[in-house]
Amino acid sequence: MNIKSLKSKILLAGIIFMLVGTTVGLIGLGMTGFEPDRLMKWKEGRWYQTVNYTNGNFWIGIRLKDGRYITSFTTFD
Amino acid sequence: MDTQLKKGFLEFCVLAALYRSDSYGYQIIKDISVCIEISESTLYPILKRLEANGCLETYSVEHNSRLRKYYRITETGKEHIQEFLNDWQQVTDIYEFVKGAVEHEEG
Amino acid sequence: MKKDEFLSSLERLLRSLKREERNRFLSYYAEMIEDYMEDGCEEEDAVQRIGSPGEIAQEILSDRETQPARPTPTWMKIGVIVLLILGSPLWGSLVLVAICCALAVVIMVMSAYVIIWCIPFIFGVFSVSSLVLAVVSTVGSVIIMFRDTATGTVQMGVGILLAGIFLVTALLTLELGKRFVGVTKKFSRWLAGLYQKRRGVRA
Repeated sequence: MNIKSLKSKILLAGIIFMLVGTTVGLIGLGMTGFEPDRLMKWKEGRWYQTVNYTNGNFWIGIRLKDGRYITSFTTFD
Repeated sequence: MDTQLKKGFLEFCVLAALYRSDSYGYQIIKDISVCIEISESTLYPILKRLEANGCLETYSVEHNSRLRKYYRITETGKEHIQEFLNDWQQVTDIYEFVKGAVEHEEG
Repeated sequence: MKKDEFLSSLERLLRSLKREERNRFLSYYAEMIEDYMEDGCEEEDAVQRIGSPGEIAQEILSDRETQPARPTPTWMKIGVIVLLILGSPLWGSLVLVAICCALAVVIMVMSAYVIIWCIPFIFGVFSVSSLVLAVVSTVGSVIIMFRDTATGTVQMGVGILLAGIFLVTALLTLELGKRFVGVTKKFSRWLAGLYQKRRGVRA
């Protein structure tokens, strides 16, 4: 297997993943009627919920306890 | 003879030619030529070098309405020639050494 | 060739010498020719015995080049040492300035290296976090789906998206890493080359 084509395959896979993921995410949002407020709120102990929406901001990350985070990305409006 | 070797020897030949009495260029060449080949252009730098080392000094004498340059050996020059003579033993040693190596090869 | 011809040729060829030196050569050879003639040689034969002016001039000129320089007289050496001591505040501070410049250059070079490597490093960190988040998201999303499909789906989508991001950034990190290794190597070699040249010129 040529190295170059492996790289291209990975690149392609990555892009596809991104597209699929965005689509699925949008579908999910669609289920909420595009009202992100209807998404689950975070409860303590639910560290595996990475998608959260609070006060108009999305943030994606791992929240162990209030105030302890690992890895997050947020949008600030 | 090897040029480097020759150059070295000629210095002493020139000093030897001047040892007993002062002399001038042409005469020096004639005197040395019986022992070793020397040309005017070779002699000149040797005379220059010996003069720079203080082994000889020069003066001019009028001869047939022209100036002739004479050379005279100095004390330093005499010492220099004496060293050469003293080193002769080492010269023969070196000769024997080289000869021994060559003959050993052929043997 | 006649004597005058010979001498004027020689004079012409030895133009580059100082007048005094040139005249010394000329009078030497003139004398030699005269002596030969006195001894019974014909003028032309005498000139021929001495050699061609061209060859003689060449010998003289090449000989001069190989002459060792005259040793500097002692008073000059002492004078130079005194001047160096007297002037030490001046050249001392100049030397200090030079050292500081050299240090500044070194620091700049090291900073350049650090900055260069920040870029792939940042990408690397990004990709790692993406991976972690991706895994947690996808796995977690399944659990959440049982509670609330909407959130679960969104999370799954996010997870897949993050996985994609991870793949792309990881790839980029590798590529950038490789490129930067090459750049660093070339840069280091260039620096070494500069230093070598300096050394070569000095030595």
